[in-house]
Amino acid sequence: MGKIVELNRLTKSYGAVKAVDNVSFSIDENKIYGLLGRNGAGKTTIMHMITAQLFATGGELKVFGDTPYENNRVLNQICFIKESQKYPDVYRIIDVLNTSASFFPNWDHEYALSLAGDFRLPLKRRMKKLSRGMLSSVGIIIGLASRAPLTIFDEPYLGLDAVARSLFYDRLIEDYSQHPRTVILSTHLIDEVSSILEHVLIIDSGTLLIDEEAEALRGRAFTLAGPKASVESFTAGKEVIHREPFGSFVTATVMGNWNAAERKQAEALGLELAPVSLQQLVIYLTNGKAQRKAVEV
Amino acid sequence: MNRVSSVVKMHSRDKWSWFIVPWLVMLSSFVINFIISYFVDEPLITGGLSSIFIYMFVAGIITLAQTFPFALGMSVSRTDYFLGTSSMVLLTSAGSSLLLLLIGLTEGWTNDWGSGLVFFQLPYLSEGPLVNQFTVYLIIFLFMHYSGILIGVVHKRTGKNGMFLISGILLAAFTLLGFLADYLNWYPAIFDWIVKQSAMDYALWMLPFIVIFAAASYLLLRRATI
Amino acid sequence: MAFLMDDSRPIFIQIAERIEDDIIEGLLPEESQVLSTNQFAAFYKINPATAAKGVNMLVDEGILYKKRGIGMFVAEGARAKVMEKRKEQFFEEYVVSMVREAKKLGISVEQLTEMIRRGDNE
Repeated sequence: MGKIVELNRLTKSYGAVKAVDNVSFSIDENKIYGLLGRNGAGKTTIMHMITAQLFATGGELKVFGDTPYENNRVLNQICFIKESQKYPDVYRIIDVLNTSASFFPNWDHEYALSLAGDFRLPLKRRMKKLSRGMLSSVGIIIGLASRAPLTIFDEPYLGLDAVARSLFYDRLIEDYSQHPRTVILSTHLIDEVSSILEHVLIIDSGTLLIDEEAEALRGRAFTLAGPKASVESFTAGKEVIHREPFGSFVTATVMGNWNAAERKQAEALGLELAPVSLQQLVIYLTNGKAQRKAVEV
Repeated sequence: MNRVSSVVKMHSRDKWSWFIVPWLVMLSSFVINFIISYFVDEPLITGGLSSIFIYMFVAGIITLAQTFPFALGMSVSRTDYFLGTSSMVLLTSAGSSLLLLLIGLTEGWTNDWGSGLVFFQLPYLSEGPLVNQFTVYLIIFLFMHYSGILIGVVHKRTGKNGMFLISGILLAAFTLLGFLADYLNWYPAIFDWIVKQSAMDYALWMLPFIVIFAAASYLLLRRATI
Repeated sequence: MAFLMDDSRPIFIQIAERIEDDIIEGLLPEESQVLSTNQFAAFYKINPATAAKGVNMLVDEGILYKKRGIGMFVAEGARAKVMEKRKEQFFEEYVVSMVREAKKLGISVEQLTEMIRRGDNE
């Protein structure tokens, strides 16, 4: 499988502030990626650099094997839907869709119109008059109907209710199955999208924390609960990402792929064990207390 | 797929800003003047024509703010955006010039609209062969448009503070030049030169400025970010 | 809800388990066709690659087999295989921990057997 995007020590500083700090990762063809992290972690900045809308201050970036800046061969294959996308005020929804049709080589107009029906969008209404949720829906439609080899959604569902979000996930899976392509989903609603993701990138304070298969992260961490002494003795030498005292009890979340023997050992010590969901894992990893370096895979 | 033509198509979807509003402004100016011309005995010569040129200047500023972030978001390169926008400017300027020329001729045929209103065929401006008239219109349109685009780009790149700074510098420079001209007694020569120029001469003087404005806009746009 | 995935365990394993459940309960008789990867993905709202991983795991175990160009089918003898696998898991998950807990409480093996009989009668 080819590498679609390659970041090598990519950095973006604003004066002394490093919004993105030495981030390196690569993105494979035809997989769905989750770019996860808290607001302001640097996710949007990274995506803006991948699409040549912002310029890096350091490091290397290759998209489809080349620099994306002013490069039509690369840009032609990218569709980047962002929460802050601006549309001309006077355009109606239909104008935006028609314009997109001429910008994206793989655009499926019939599909775009049917999606507009699904999301109940008034095609003749001006962009200026749309609600936040409707604006998000327009973005989602462009992202799906563009069928761009690299499609990026940055917090695409601001203002959308649960029904519309679920519709988005359904359509994304359906269309991705029919027309495989590389998708990057950036979001903080991790629990909703986690089952769609094949690969997870976690960014915190401008640095890369995790770069791993989603499936490998499920059951990758466990929470132990029990008397303080037992927990301490069991977690010694292990990577603890979260700890919460509770009277004489302690709960600790520990990284690691546990084998049956270790599990039995924990149970023998009288510790209660519970697996950690992907969502919880991301919260623990990005809550600022844990100081970790990028996990090399 | 040619993305330059896609940018032209994108602009042409905004029929109001590019076609309808400028001619509506013109039409309303014309109608008002036409009514007035019925109440005055002498021929009425007005400067209403300038409204469409001023509109193009404003349109230049607005177009950029409205469509550049959109186009960039739709994976259009800055170069394609600039070329497409320039094509659109050239096309509409040429179209508007042709239309102005035709209406000007109509003004002649109808004997100043039967009411002595001189609106489109202005003395001095509309002198010379038709080709010259067309060229003069076209160049003024382009000059106004690119002035607007340049201001839009400068604002995009430098924000409000940059705008203040640049207008401050320009103001200071012109004031200084004014004093200098007075001090060195250049004014008689300048006025002498000004009087001798035809509309066509002025238009030709605008050409290098159009090129400079366009080039500056392009270079600034090349490094513009969202 | 039964069709929601547990986010704290690998999803491909959960997919494989659901197919196995259907085989055990007779919903998927031998030689019947299994949903396609894309159908699994759409139904459970999961990544198609993950669904494929779960299905392929069962293919490797000889529980499913692939008919070229048509799809995945339940293999002959699949039910017996799944039952065997599940019995082993049952021992690991329930019996071992039950015996450990029984020892803690001083319950003898005879008493435990008696308890199981009682449980069966209820």
